[in-house]
Amino acid sequence: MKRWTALCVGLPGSLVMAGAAVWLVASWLGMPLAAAGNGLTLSEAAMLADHADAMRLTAQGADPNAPARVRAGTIDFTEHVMSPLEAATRSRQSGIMQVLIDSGAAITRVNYPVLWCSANRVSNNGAVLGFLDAHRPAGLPAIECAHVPIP
Amino acid sequence: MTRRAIAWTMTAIMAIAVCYSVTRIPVQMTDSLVPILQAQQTSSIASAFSGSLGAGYLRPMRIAQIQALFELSNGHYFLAYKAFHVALAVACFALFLMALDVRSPPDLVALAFALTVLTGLHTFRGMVWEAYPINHFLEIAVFCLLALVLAKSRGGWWADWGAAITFVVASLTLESGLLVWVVVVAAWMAGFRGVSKRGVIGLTVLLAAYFLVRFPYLGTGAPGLAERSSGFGFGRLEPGELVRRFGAWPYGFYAYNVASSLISVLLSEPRGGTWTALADLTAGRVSPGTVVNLVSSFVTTAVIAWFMVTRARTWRAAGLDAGDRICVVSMAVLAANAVMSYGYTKDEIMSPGGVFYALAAFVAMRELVAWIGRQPRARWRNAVCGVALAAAATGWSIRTVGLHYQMQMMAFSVRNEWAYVGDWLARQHAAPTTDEGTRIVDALRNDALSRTVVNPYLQSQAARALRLFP
Repeated sequence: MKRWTALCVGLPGSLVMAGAAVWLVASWLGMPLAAAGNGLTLSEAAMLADHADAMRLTAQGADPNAPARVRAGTIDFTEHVMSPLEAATRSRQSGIMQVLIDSGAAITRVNYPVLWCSANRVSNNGAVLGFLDAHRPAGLPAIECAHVPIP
Repeated sequence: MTRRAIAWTMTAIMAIAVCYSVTRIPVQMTDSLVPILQAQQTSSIASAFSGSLGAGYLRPMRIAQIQALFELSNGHYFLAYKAFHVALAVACFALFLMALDVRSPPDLVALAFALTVLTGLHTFRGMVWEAYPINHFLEIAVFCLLALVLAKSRGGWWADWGAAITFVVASLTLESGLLVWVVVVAAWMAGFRGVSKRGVIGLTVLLAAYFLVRFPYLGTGAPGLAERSSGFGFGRLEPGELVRRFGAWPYGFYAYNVASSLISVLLSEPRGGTWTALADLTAGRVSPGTVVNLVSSFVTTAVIAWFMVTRARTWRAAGLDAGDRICVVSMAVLAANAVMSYGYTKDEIMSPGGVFYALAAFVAMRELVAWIGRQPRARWRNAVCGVALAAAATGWSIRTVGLHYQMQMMAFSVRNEWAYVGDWLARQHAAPTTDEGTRIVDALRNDALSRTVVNPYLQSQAARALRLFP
């Protein structure tokens, strides 16, 4: 057997096995995965369409109206602070907004313009915009997004 | 450390990694909850077995196994069903290695390659990333491997009886369990004598009995055109369209399905009967994942074809050695598996064929590695071979890592589904009507929501790129 043949055929698979061994040992030692959602805030769960964690956090008493951290790398390269509903407008999924409202989050005349303009910043966001349309507070005047500060 | 021990260590690492990913996925809601609730309303394993005999399929062992695990679980549903899934996965890897004779350094090199073919092939994914709540496709693959190991053994009455019992259980679990007969007969014809001539005849009698019980006695038919949608050409056809186009003469459609299923294992295209890569190529948007899939499969299939062509001359003169026999059995299983997919094409149905394809890849790659070692220096040929083999091996490795990524995605998706289990049950008109049923739903939901899963949106760009490998 020529050495180069062994390297070409066997090395990639061997590297996968070595990587798998490291992964398994790290998991066994309890090392957290970078993406395991450790320390996830309700706002992050809402923005990432993580329905299960959103339900878990609200069941544990997380305030569905309280602004919370959204870590860098999710919206852009900086950290943001926003309410779960504001974050949910970026998820493109209306289901997560309903979960928040069922848990006590409020859409009011005060936060509606922010939610609406935030949702309009996201492409293909028809589900969220439709949801907001259906929950628009009565008598709200037309919204000029140019004058609405978005977190 | 002996070479045998190294081989077992390599296989164990791959098996444990797959099992770990299996246990990170909650019990599925869409495929598992209704069967579990039905098990709760069934009085015994015997009644689950007999109650399924009048259904549209002859799969009584499938229902009986779900029932048995439900009764054994004592409320620990995740533990019971996942432990069985893990046991099947471990058996699959162990039998895969037992079917091969790993003794020399080229064997170890070929094993490293074959294990990534086994786990990287798209047909493997369906055996590990979902369950109903038992993954019967994985079970059938295990039964087929067990039949091969029995056929390769020194034999005896126990091997004959083992093959017969394996066939009965497999054929009454899923229709593709009939492949056990194909394995035993092909192995015997190729020269493996672990299962004796008497055993092969006995198995053939059991096969005849299966058809007699299924068709004239129970009147269980075969799948028809109107049962489900199916891939065809560049898209999918709904049942109504299938009946309209092929109802008068379905054999052309059946031939298409057989050919599609066979080619899908050999070239990773088409998928589910749909030529997605060609459609993407026509639209000018072929993903890197598709290229990796096609290249790795094409090179591997070419190596298997080279092996069979070059060995065919020796077969006529000197007969078949153990490696040749494995290759012959693998091709027979692959072809029979494709024929059994005549009704509709689905990656999962071809999973036994995929496992045997990996066995054939081992044999062929081992021979190629040894053959290259015997060749005099030929730089340009070495370079071409090296690039092709490295591309294939790297491609399979990426596909293996992609399997774990897809399983993490599945865990995230399944866990989110449980958040809305009430709505889903209402839509299915399957909401539990008893307190015990409600307790089961609550227990499974709480179990799913309490699990820590990887959020794919928090992963790095490099990890997200693995989503491109379907």
